Amino acid sequence: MALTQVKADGLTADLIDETKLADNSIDSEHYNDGSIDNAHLADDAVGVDELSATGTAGNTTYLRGDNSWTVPPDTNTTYSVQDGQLSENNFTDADHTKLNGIAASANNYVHPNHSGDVTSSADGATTIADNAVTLAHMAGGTDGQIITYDASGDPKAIGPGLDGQVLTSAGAGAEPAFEAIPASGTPNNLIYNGAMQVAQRGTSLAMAHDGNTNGFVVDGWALQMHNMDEFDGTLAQVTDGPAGFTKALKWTTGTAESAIATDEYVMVRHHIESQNLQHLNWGTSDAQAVMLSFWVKSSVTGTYGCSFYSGRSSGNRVINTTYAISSADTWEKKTITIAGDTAGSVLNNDADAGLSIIFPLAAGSNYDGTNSSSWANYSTANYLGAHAQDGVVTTGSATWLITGIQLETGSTAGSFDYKSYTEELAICQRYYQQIEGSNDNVLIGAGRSSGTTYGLFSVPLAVPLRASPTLSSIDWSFFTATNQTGVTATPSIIKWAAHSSVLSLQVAGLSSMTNARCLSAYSNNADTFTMSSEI
Amino acid sequence: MAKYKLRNNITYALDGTTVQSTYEDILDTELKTSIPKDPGNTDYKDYLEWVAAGNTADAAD
Repeated sequence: MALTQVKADGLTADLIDETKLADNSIDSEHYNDGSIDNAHLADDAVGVDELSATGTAGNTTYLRGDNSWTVPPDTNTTYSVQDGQLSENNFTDADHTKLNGIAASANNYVHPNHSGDVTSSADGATTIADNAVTLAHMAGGTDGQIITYDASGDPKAIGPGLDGQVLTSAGAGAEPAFEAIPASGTPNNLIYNGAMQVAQRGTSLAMAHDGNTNGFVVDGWALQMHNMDEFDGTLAQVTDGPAGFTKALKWTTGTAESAIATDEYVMVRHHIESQNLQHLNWGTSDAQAVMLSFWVKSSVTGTYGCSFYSGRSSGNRVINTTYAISSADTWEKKTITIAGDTAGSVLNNDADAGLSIIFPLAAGSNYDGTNSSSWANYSTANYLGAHAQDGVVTTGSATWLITGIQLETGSTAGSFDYKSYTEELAICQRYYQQIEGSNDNVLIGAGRSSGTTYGLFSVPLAVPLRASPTLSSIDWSFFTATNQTGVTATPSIIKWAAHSSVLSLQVAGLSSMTNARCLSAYSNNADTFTMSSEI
Repeated sequence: MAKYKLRNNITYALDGTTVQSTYEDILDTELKTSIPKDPGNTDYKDYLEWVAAGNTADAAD
């Protein structure tokens, strides 16, 4: 029979073990109050939810002793220690100041004295002993360079030059340069009288808009003014120049032109014969470049033009360039390279001008309206193109000086082609000669009387003249064995020849001569007889 | 008076009366110079430009 009832006193004490109890069969009312001790709790058995604390458990709260979940009152308190509050090894402001003055990685270094080629005393200046720096101790450069000094006195390497070039000095104030020279050893200046040595006509000429508008002082270098209204001044050969030159051409403005009208210009120019330029091959595919170099000085700074005008067999050509005068009243060297002109017609091979080098001092817009920076057909507008600074002409007492002008083949400026005065004079006399009179004592030429009123005579020339010359009028005295007469007259030319050193002239207007007598022609009244074949 | 004046010149044979040749040149009446009719003479070129500009030189005597 199945057991249906068991009384408590029917059970032996501690008889019922856990195997006789069903899972989850004991609820809390079957525990005695306060009967569950620590040994009957499993590790990690009590969770937050089983706690009776007030407040909200979370990641910003903690369980305080009064059984409440609470946010900590302060999480970032800075504590400071006042000066001297540390009881031992106190850290003072003075200590901080001292430590703050010590550089990072500083050490207790004592600078020693140095001896030898480089000496010093403690931390004083180091000194390099004389003769101590050998080539091995110099900084490396480029093979072929040399060391010079610049305007500040600092060393500067120049070069290397090209094969065959020589080192040329440009005088004080300019660094030397490696430059090409022709095989002859000296450059060939296509310009004559570039050093302004020769001035056959005198050393000064007053020029004015209503007087001399086109004239020479220094041979080969004319000043021309065109359509000026007020302008005048003085053209002169002066003793001035940069190192290596003693003479210069100088223009000094007297009355300034108030404004440069469109049809006005003032310029200094030089012509070169075509036959002396044949090697340049201009007008062909073999055209050669040329380089112009010169020294210039002016009271007016600015950009000046420099035009190259080339007379050709058909249609003339022009190229415009500029140079800048940077410092007033200071000699400055300028160089301008001109490419060979492969276009246009070829240069004539004659004694006419094949190239004119023009230095404008003022140019109206009719003449500088077009800037032909490369060779172009000539037009009035590009004649003086690129010129900008008219100040020499529009400023009273303004000055402009030039000397040391050289034009050479190629694109590298060589040293100046110095010629003796004798050589330069002979070249100048191809274009102009004069015989200076002295009372009636200077013989111009000898010949014969022709009829009763003509004197025929030959004038010995210093060199053959370039062209049949323009002759001046002077007072003449003629002497024959039986006659003496005088006349003021301008001779006519009986015979000129390009290769002859004799010029045959005839003077008319003589009186009471006997035909066919030997005749001597003298300058009377100290007149100077001039023969001009200027180009 | 124009700036230029033409001038006829004569050369005679040794007898002093037979005309050997005649030639013309130009007088610059302002500068008091004689200018040969040489194409290479720049004063002659200036004269030609002066004529081309419509001017006329005084005739020769």
